[in-house]
Amino acid sequence: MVKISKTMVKDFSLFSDCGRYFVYSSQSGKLKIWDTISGTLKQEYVPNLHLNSPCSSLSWINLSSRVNSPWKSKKRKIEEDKNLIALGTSDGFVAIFSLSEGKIVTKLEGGHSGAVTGLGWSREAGLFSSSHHEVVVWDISSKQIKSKWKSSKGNITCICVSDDGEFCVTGSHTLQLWDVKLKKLLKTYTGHHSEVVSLVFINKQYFLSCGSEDRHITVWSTKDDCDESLGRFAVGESIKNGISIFENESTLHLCTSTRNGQLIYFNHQLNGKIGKVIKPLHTVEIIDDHSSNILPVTGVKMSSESMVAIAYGHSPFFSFETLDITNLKKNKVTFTRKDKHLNKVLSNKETTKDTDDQAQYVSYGNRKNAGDVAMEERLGNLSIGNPVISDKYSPYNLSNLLTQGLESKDRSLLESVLFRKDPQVIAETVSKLPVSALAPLIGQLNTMILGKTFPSIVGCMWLKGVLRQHSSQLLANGSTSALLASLQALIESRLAVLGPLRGLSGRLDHIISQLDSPQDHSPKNEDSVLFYQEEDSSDERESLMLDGDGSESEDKWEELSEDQLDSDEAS
Amino acid sequence: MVPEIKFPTPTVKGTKNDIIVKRRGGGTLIDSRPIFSSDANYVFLNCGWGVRIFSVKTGECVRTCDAGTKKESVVSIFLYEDQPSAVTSNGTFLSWEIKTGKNLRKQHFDIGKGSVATNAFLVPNLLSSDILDLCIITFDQTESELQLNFFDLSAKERIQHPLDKTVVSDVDIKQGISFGGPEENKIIAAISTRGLNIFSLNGKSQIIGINPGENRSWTCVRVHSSDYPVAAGDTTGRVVLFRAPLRKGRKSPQAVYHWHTLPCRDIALTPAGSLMYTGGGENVLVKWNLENPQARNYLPRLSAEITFIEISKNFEYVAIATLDNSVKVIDTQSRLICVLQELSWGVLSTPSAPLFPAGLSFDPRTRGVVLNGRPGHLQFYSPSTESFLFNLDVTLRNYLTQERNKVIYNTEVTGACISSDGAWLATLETREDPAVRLEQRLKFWEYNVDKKCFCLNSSIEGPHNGKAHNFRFRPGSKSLSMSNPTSVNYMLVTTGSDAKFRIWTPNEIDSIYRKGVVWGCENACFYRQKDCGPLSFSEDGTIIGVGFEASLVLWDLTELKVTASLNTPSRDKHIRFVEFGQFESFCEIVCATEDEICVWNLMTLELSWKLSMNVLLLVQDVSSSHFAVFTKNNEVFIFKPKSPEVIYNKKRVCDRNGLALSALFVPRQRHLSNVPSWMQNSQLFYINNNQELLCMESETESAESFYLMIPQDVIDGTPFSNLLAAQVESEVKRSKPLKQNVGYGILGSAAVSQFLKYPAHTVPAMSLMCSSFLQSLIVTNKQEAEKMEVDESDEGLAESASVSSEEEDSIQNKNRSPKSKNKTTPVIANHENGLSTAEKLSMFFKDLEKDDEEFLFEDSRINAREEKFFIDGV
Repeated sequence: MVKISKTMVKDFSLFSDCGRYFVYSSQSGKLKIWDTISGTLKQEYVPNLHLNSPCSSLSWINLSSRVNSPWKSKKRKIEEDKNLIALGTSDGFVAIFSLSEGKIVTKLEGGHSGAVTGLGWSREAGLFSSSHHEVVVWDISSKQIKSKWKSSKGNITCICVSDDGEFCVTGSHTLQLWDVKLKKLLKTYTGHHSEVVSLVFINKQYFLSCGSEDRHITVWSTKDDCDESLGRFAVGESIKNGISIFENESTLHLCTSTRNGQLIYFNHQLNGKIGKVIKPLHTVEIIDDHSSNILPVTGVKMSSESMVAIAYGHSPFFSFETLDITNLKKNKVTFTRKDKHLNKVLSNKETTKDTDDQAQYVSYGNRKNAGDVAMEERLGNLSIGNPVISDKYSPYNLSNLLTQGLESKDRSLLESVLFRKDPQVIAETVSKLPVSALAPLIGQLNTMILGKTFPSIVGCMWLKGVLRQHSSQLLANGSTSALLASLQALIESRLAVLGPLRGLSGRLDHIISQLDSPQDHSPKNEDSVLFYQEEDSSDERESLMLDGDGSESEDKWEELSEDQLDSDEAS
Repeated sequence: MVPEIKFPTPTVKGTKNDIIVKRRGGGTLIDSRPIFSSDANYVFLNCGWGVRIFSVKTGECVRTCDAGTKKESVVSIFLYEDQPSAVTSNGTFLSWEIKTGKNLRKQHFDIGKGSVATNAFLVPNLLSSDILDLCIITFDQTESELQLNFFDLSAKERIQHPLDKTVVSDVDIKQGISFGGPEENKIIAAISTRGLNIFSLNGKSQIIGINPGENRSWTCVRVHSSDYPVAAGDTTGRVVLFRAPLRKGRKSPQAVYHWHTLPCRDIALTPAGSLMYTGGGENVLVKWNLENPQARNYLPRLSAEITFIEISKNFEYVAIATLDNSVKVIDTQSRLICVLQELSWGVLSTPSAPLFPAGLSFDPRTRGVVLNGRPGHLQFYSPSTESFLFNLDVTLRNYLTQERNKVIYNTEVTGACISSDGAWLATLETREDPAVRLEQRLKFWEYNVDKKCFCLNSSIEGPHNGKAHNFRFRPGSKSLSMSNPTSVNYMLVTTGSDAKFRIWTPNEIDSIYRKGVVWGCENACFYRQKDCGPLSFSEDGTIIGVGFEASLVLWDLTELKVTASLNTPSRDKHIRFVEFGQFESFCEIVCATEDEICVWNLMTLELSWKLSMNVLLLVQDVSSSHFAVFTKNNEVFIFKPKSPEVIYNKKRVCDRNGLALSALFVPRQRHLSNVPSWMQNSQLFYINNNQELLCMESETESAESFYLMIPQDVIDGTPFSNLLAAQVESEVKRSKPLKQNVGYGILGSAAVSQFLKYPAHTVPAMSLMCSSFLQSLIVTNKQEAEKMEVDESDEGLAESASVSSEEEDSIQNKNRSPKSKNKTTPVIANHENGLSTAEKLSMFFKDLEKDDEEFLFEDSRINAREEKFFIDGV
């Protein structure tokens, strides 16, 4: 058990080879997989109890190789399980997790006695795993051990296989290059002070290594007889989670993340021995916009020669982004991002996000928004408390106020002036206006006219005033056309609906008049249901004829009616 | 709508350079009803050329089983010995191993010439129900006859069957034929234009032509897998349930369930038979309680019209196939478990609308292709991983489904354009209802780096007075933007049918509500009142070329002045495509009218060359100076504007009368050197009217495929698993498991209702009731019962008559089958001598039972029990 605790129960995180998925294995034994494009936690796998020996190494199994192999088949492409993860555990077995099935599909047992410290994958040669003193090559399809050999020197902490499966490098404090077929030690390289934690092959001709306490990445060659390092990339801080490379036409693009949370990018033409230490081309930092703390970059993956997929944030809350690294202007770049664990966590299945909460709706109709009414009210409230404007205005006052408002862009001040409708006031104010204030005024009026009913009407009146007073000035000014261009479009489009609107209003008027007219005539046309004729109506007629003065007639009405009733009863 | 046959690689051999066409998405998943594995962990989907196995847990494709056929497509899938099996259109039966995808068996059956298989299912052999026969339904196009064919799976030949070669229908609808029924009397139901036909598998009884009523016709039918009920849906959305479909004579009892207003598309009955799922064009899944039609549950707002519904064997999950080529799996509480979707098919929101009106565009951030998805949405699809990324709701409106007698017009996304740095997305949505004015909105979406999605920034109602035709962003920096867009250097130009093109730019705003930029119209330009259509920016974004009818006008954008106007040689043909050359051919501009391609030199303003060609599409490579032209003759040409020389041409780019609808060059992630020059930096993708996304690939890159067999561990997590052998062989005869746990209704309900139904003084002594009551609570194994009392079996009818008299009455109480009631009559006769009051009562109930005979099984069962009970009492 002491051995297990010694064999680093630590976090692992890794991008898939396609860069789409990001896997994170936490100390609690949970395996979490994110979809980096949508940024959602796609799967969380908690292994069964008897599998719950801590994960000690992690590797994606990449089935589509970039190397053009002679292994060509003209078979129809079979869409196989493309996303597999190999997990090495401290109990000495290797488990293969399938992303599409969401479970561990197979377990390779019997290879190691101690913890699996490193995993490597080659499409041609199969899966490699290493424990402290052994290297095992597995044939996954039959779950058998293909080959196995022992290493005498040091505890192996890391393993890497070249793409074609010819070579394999194991790292302890020294690096050992093996011929896979012959199980033979080809070379031993020395030069690291601490145990090697990261190894990457470049085209089987070179490989990179980095130790846990090293502040540089070292390049080695497999070809030459020399067993000294070819060169070094200065990282400045020990690296955190492995190295990602992209190699194209002998240019090496290299990315890694350091323990202090930076992303470091190198670009180098690999060709023989490098004299001096290579400095990073770009350093990227990501900072939380609230606290301006660093959000550490935990995973990097070069998906093309310029694109780097990164994962950043604190452990359970990762965010993902693709950076275009070659087009960064400066050597050291800082981005500010929101820390994700302050946001509400999106649920796993939810695919829709609020996309329209910050939208501007422009329409040429006069559609009222609830929000806009509130704005007018709010601004109205503001202007009430504004003591500057008295009812007795003077044009000087107003034009001064307007220029002040235009300079300071104070909304309340501007609206207190511009919301006046009196044409005379407008004309006087505009005439007193300095020439320099014209352009900002027109800009302001533009936005007003673009707005809703009232500002639009008033804005038009003001614009009319401005054009009347200062047309010569405006004509001389070259920038006027640009100022008025958008207005022209607006006016045109509004005029386009004028005709149909007129027609509509005419029709509505017609309908309304038709609706009104029968109401007036309705009492006339209706025949009374019951016609009751008074025996003697002469009195009433008389009373009606008497009906001349208001007060008198009313009194008489009452009397008459009472009389009538009496007479009725009598009869 | 649904394309007929899909193949994984519709390879068309190129004329040279071994370039092949490869499908990168759009294969069907909904050609036939999806089925569940017996443990409901996997869903099997018919993908045309095979069966694809999806995991219910993760919603991902686990395995693909290739049918290995060239022309024939898979028409039906089902489980055979718990393994996925399929029948192809030429009558080949295939079965695969679920764990490995290995082909277990493949055999061909002769289904006769001139007809194609359209459906198939496994039926029990008439002689022994343990053996399964294959029933293939074939359709004869010329005679329009749907015919049953029976084959022996082991003998590999046609078998003698009373229903063999029976014509069951005259229409070929996948949902129009169904097989099921209780074990002793399996039935086949099929719908035809004349009505619903029901056949008993043993050929003894058949009902032909149940009419749905006037102005109605059947649209789908489903038989319960292990009982009698047959449910049929019609064009008015009614679902009629026949409890006893084989009853002759008087009108068979039926129940009508009516909620749908559009035709009902598919029906599924739960194994217990108490619930029913129906679906149709309303995009709503309705869950019915058969006892109480008012108690309905709905699952509304599914992505498209429902085409198939399937329930897993033990009713854990329900799979819903929808017309946008996706399958949704929900659990019994209607919670979504997973969505199985690849390229989402365009669903015509209104009939006669064009497919994929927004065309294809490339999103540099996700490296995905953007195209129309479900109505009102844009879908982001990754062609490299062949996976669906996400949907963006553009219209932010509910989808309105069609009505019975009215065409409903929905707003559809008719254009999409992404700025070169991926910061802005412009969309155009149109609602073209002829009854009202054209509705159009131009929307600007900005990429929000914090939310990692496009968020709506501005929505402009009616960008043009009339229809907007085309729009494009001014080319800017090609590197990905990595912060929220705040700069105002972007520009979009739209052309519209008001004979103007408008320039839209972002303007900074700074109000108390929001900060940032808002898009607005900066300027509008026109040229001689001519209608304008296509537009293109020069590589540096300083010049714009707009096609005004037959003339191409170039404007200087810095001063907004016309710098040149060029006329096509044939002055009457309108320009349909304009593209500025790039890189080494920066001084060329390419124009295409309907029947020719013209290239001008911008320096000399002279026509460099022209070529007559039936142009369908003209697209430019973003990372080289190559152009691709799709012609109406189904050909593609690659050329450079420098010379009229065709670099590459390929015939028959689309199969099966396909036509390219839109095309796009997608830049590669890695420069390839071993392919023709025009393919080195990008790949040509196009979508055809069969809704397939195709791409051109050199054979060398497509040959990369790797097959890794992964053994599946059976991980049993408990120590008890060690006690179990991997393989258990036992000579002990096992009784057949019950086909289902519970019959109709609630266990023991009949006995309980017996307590409650009659007044207390008529109920006999408790001691007599006890045994029957307890027995009613036991789920009897029918096979056992058969052994004990032979009168149950169907085969030995003759035996039963003799034996039944000897049987003790109490044993008969075990019979829960409705059939047993017929056989109880002789028993009653035996006892008729000793006449008593109880006997009289039993006679009375027998009469009652006769009246009620055409009632539900449940009731008849109760009656049967009651009369037995009284016999007990004697």
